[in-house]
Amino acid sequence: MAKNLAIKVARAEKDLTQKALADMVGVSRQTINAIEKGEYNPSIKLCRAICRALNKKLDDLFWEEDNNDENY
Amino acid sequence: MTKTTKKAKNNLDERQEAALLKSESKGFWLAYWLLLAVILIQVIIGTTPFSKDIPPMAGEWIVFMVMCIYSVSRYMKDNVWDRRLKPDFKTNLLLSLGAGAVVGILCACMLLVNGRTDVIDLLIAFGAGFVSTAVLCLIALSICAAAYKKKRAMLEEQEAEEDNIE
Repeated sequence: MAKNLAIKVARAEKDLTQKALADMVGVSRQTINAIEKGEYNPSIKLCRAICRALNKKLDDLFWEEDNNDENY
Repeated sequence: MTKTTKKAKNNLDERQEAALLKSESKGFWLAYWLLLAVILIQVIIGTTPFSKDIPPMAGEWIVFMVMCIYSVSRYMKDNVWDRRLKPDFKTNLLLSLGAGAVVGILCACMLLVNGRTDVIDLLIAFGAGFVSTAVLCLIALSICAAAYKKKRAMLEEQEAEEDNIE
């Protein structure tokens, strides 16, 4: 799974640490780190909580650009 | 009808819960195949003359110990403690006392079943089982809790460094 840089960027824009974001969405810091590293695929519930915390849309943070997209 | 029972708060977040469920799932299949192997081995050995030399339930004990070691090592690797229980001294002490009481009662019952009805003997058996089990459990739980906290602190520190660098 690829790294999720969008979350890291959005977090940096809001000047939030992993710990602060983790507290906002009610998970451990390790979980936010795992999501950013692409080691953990979060549930839709957690994705929505992260989007709300970072004031972003689901597509902004969790949509993976794929070469095959143009085929659809 | 509404449910009035309130569930205790889960200490784990969804990633930790997923890791725990995965460990439990793998543990179930490990126990399943090991128990099947034990049954087959016992069936084969049961037909041989040296089957009397093997203590009763030896296979089951081996499986139980393997499962204990597997569980602890997986939980340590995933840095997961428990859904409801916390790794503090009070909880560890209560668990150890509970385990000690169970083993103490078991020891006393074994004496009773074998026809020993003297109250002093029963109390000594209970006390020996209770104290030894409670102390060993408390030591084991304290070591595991310390290891869990150490690894957690290490991971937090490591991630904090990564967070600052990037």
